[in-house]
Amino acid sequence: MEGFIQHTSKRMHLSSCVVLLFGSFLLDPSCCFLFRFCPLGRLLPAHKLYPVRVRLVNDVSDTIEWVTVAYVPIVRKLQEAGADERARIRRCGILKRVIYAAFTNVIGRSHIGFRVKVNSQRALAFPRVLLYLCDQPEERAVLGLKGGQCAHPCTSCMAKIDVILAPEAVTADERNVINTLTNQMEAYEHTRRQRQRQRRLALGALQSTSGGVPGLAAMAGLGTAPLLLYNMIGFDVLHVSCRSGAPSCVAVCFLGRRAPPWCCLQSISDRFRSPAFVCVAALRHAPHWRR
Amino acid sequence: MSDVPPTRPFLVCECDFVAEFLSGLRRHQYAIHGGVIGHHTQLPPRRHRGDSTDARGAVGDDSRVAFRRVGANVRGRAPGAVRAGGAPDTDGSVADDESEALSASSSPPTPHHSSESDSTAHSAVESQLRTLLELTRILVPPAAGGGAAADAVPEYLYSSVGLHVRALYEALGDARRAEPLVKRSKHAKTGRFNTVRLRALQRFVLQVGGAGLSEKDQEFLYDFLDCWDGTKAGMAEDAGHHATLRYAFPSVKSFKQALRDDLDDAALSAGWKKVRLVEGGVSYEAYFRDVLQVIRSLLKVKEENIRLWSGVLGPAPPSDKRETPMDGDAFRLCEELVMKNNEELACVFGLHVFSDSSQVSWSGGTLLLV
Repeated sequence: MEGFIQHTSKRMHLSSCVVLLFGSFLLDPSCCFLFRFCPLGRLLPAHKLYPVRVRLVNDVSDTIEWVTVAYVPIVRKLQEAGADERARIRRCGILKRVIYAAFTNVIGRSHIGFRVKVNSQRALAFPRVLLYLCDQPEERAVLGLKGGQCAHPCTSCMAKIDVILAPEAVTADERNVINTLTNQMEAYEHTRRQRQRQRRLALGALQSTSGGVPGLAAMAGLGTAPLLLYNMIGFDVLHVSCRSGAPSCVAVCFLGRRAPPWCCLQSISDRFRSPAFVCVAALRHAPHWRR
Repeated sequence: MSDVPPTRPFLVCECDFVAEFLSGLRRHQYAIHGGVIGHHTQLPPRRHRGDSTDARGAVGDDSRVAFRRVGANVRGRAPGAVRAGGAPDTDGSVADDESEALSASSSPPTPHHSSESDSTAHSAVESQLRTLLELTRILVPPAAGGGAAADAVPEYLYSSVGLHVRALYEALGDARRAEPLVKRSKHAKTGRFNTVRLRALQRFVLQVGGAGLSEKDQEFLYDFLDCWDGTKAGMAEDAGHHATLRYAFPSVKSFKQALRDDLDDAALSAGWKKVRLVEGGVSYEAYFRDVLQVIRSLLKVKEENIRLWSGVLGPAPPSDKRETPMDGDAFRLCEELVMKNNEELACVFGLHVFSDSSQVSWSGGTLLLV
């Protein structure tokens, strides 16, 4: 029966021409219901959702498996004043809310743990989000930071835009998680109550934060020690089909993207110590990659 | 260019005869030289009766070369040879003897009949075009200062825009280079779906989902039908081995209902939920499932491959090894903190999250039954 459901899912998937939902969704039998409950799989050829996937790094089998845990609706521009900005705010809000909805229990358990028995070994397990793979707009949205050209375009440090791609950026201060989150919370509360507009703007300008609060900040290890919230964003390896991390493949995957700042080099290479990452970091920071 | 003849055509014969009008030049050439001569006779070749579409393809790759070859042939012919090719009509076209001959000889209705009649029609059109070019096209002498490229592409004056356009596209030769859409396989056996059931199966395979089944799906279907017929080697037999579809599902409705119920069950057992989110006054529907349940399911399914710690029975000592994500600084840091704060044996379950709204990417996702 499982196989039949998979096949049905695949056929329905193909017939609806949904190009985005590759991978685990395609073969995940539990995802078939989407085609019935949402217009996506029924009639509309354009995709309306995109998946959020997770991988358990404690799984050391040879095959890396990503499991779809959520489908985020794609937010498009409407016919309204300031459509771009409003759509961006909506997009960020929806993404953060969906992520929080999916991770609610994980966030709770990341603080108190849950008991597991694996291979006859019992332990209290604490889930942690170590890496969030995404592109740059998604990165800024997940963390509630301003996108595009802003005073502090780097996610992991406070390097100013004037010194981005310059050697001085390496010595820039790390982004302070607690301070940034506190300011984001305060700004959000002001926004909810529609008060202190000047203060809101000042708070936003201080660390280039947008109006929202990152839902994942509630996760232990990100919003608490070791405070990895601004270090969890990683290079989107899923765009590279070559696992060797060859420069040419990596270069292709970064075409058309905005190059991240110079200061990322240090953090990326420190965290992963992987030739692929270092190579990517080097490519990302080469001057001709900047747009 | 208009339909009006050019005001200063290059109306000089190779024998230095200068004519005032093109008709005068042609009359002179047919009368004195027995046909059209000169560079302006770089015309499309006349095809022989046996030429097929494929042969046309072989001819037309570089029509200019062909034009020159024919031009040379025309020059080399004896006087009167051109006349045999056709006589001009009142409207400037000629009655092509080849096409006439092909039209007149009605061939029996064979599988090649249509291609032959196509060939005949094409021949008539080609012949008409050739005659038009022969009678009305005039070569413009290359202007001084032109490069080699300019010399390589001769310039002509045409009697009408329409003819100029046709000559231009004929020079490209796209139609001549065309080949049949598919090539019939060497030992093709058609018509093997020759019973009612097999024809129904064929219709299903070719029409399902609008575009039919892919070859991979056809393999899948064959495997399924083999199993359904009970002829698959080594397949298990149960009480319903010989039962028909109608025995289990008496109607289409019951069949659809059973499928729907199983899908519902699969979705519910996987813990999928939907939620309506209102953001900025706009309502959106999102779908998610509890990540914790996903982790628990993974632990059950892949228990053999799950490691609780970076080391064997606890955190690994610091090293420069970076072979898995469990060797990363982030994991080690979290592990250290967790082990420090709890007296109970603790471990970290590291999660990597992926989302990308802007680019379709290969996720590396593979079959996983959670």
